[in-house]
Amino acid sequence: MPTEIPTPEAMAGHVKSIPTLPGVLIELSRRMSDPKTSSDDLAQVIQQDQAISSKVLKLVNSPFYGYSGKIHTINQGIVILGFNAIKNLVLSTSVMEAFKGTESGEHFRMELLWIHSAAVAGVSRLLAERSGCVDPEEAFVAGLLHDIGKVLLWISEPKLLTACIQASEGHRIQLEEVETRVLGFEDCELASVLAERWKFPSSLRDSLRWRTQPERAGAAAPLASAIHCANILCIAMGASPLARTVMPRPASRAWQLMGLHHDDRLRRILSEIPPRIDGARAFVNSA
Amino acid sequence: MAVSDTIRDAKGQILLPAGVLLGDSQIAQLLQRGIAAVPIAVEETEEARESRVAARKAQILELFGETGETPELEQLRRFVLEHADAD
Repeated sequence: MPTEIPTPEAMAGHVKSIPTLPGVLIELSRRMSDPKTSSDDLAQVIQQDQAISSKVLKLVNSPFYGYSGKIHTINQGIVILGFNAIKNLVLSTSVMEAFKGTESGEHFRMELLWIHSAAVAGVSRLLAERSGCVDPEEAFVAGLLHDIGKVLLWISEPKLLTACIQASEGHRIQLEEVETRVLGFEDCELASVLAERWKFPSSLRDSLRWRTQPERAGAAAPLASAIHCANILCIAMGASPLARTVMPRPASRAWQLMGLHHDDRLRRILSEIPPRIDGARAFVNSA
Repeated sequence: MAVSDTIRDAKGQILLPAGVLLGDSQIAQLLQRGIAAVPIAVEETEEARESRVAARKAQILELFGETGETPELEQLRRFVLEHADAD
């Protein structure tokens, strides 16, 4: 690795814009480890952060999440979706809020990235439901955050990321391969640094770290496989994170785990993707 | 003239599902709820459809090339092209 390029940890450490773990998440983790805590207690903790609780309610009630107009309070959300799902949504909403003001560049447009991420969230959830081997709510959150390493790289080293994108587009090589050659690591390693810092659940952290090589994710391999395949399917169906994304190669084992090697399954899944992309676009534009 | 998207009130309740034809009673109902504008579905001409499908196929060709590099990519390329044709 060239000596002038920092490690992922150093790069993440130098990004002043990465906020520390939000207070609401610290308090949630503390309360969850206490067996006497009730769902009312947990709802109260989330509601103390008005901005986050209203964003979570907006997300779960959006047509693309699937509970359109049905969940009116955080407490009701806990009863319907379960506490872990709501906690994960608080986590992903906090991440999106933290990076909301990030400005785009000529080769890296935040709007495209968020629409792609939201579409991958919806499709990851769909794959989780169909395959039956991944928790759908966890898949949604992992999909939403799967490209967060790119955002960190953009904030930290915009010129380097731009050079990588230009090389990827110009030579039609996958961006992650260029990143490895230029930086010595893929952007998903930065995502795992954020995951460590914000104390993400280990399955979420490992799936983000190994989203390009899901077979290496250990116990999180099914979750990593869901976001790996959802990312590829969304790019194939026109929701790319970059203007001229190079098509990633599916990992055979992940493809099979999601049942996509069956023609009928793949055909059906593809037909269900366009409404999810439309929903993702509407959600991002209204955020 | 039909609405292109589902129309909801401030509480998220559905007022008109997507695809419903807008008649006088529907317009009056919307105005009563303070909704003065709704998205309208515009029918695509055959020429516009052909041009959209051609653009989509060119995009798919750029993404995948003439053939997929691996069996999974070739399978995906085939079905994405099929979907573009049927769209």
